Amino acid sequence: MSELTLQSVWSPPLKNLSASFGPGMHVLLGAEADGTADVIELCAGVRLPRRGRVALDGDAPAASPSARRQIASLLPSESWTQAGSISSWLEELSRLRGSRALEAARRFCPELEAGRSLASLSGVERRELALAAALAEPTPKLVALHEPLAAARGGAVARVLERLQALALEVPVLVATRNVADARRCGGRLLVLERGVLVRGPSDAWPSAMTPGLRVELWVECDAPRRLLAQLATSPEVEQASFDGRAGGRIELRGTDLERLALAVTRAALAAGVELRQLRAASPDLDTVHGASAGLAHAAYRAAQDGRRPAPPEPPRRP
Amino acid sequence: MQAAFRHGWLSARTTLGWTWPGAAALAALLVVAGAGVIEAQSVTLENGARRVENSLLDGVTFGLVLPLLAFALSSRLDAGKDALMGSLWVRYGVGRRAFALGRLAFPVALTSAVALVVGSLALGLGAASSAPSLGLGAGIGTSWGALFGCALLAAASYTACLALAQLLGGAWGRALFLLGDWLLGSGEGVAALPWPRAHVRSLLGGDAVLGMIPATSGAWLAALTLTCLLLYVRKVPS
Repeated sequence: MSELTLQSVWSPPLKNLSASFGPGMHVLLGAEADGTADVIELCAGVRLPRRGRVALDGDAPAASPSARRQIASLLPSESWTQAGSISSWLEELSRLRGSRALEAARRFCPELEAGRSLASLSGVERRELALAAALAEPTPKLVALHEPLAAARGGAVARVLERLQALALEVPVLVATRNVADARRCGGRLLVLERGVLVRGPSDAWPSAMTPGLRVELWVECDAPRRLLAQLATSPEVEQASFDGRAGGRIELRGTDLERLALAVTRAALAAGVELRQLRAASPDLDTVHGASAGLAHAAYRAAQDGRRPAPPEPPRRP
Repeated sequence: MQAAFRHGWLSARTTLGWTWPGAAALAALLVVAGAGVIEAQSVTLENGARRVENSLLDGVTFGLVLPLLAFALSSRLDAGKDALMGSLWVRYGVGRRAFALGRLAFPVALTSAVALVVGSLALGLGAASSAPSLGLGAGIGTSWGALFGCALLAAASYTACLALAQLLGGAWGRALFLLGDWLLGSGEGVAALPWPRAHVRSLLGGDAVLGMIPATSGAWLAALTLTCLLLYVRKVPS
């Protein structure tokens, strides 16, 4: 059972970051400026922290080749230059790390021809290839990936997720993303990183946990949107509805509770005889998540202040 | 270890490509040829021919071309910690120190090869600019084996010193080293002791540093190179 430990890590923009990651899926939600990219780079061993310690089973990845050999990583920027073809590079990688990188490349990025030269790859394609190389590791000690689902192309996303879930059963899988929907798809333990500080760990990446107290949004696609909208008009769960026929016929509904909203839509569809094509919860963007974090922190501060303050004197009773 | 060194070598070769080193070698040849043509005009006696040879070897090849080439290669390859930390193969688990040595070995080989070619041209020009009757004797400057040894030792020492300077002081460190080498290495006193220029000059039959014989200067240069490499490797995380 391997364990990754970050102990009081200072490395701009990370501020005294301490965390421990055992086997399982760990999702770090935040933008690159918040420090997610730095965490992945530190874990991959390509950077040293300014202060503090990063250790994988006691070894610092930045100072231990054997530890690095057992880390599967996808960096924010795969900007390396390398001579030769994709297949020769993957073969060399397989020799070095004992992985089956060529097979993994066929599975996770089938569009990339093995005979292509590495110099001809775009940045996006290099990330795709690096992701395949990371997922090829048979028994890594740590998987640290930055935006893996964005790096995979359409059809490969499901396969990438499946492989990540399989790896998470045995080793720590650390995924950094700025996309709430991607965080939801990965599942596991969620941590929100804001300006270098771990501010909170919501139970999941659904809107009710990410942005508590804010309205949730549901996107509905169906065969007769106007009829469904007429039916929903009387529903008390729907606080706000919008529909633009030009934008693909999508209805956008807002309410307080996602589950109740979805049930209301289903009931209305049944009543109106409308066929639902898609029902999707809109994911809040990172700014909204940060706003919610600020609101939660403020509420906690107020609660603490109220707890310390002596109870206000009772108002005089009127005769 | 071996794989790490090989990857370092290949990484340096990929980063440099072939166009840039080719252009640098051509420019070096042109500089020496130009200097040879200018110097040849002053040859009248055996001493004059010897002076041309010394001037082309000590002054142009090892005094100007080699340090500048080593400096340019060093800035192009970037032997600093940041570049080494994020190298692709290092990230995939090869030893960073052996990788760094492999990455330095390529510029050493390239610089010494260029110095050898340019030095050979300088020797050829020196011999050509003297009349056969003058009987230009064979000293250390005209021995090809010695030229090869000098080229290798000088290239290694400049590359190692520049790498350490880069690691300690970044681009400014490198520039300051070159400046110090030019200013202080030109002397013969104690201040010239830690600079490769002074010992290379002594090896080529020029003014000795603190009265050292060329063999001692060679040993000093080798020790300087090894010390710089050792310090460099120690500063690089494994």
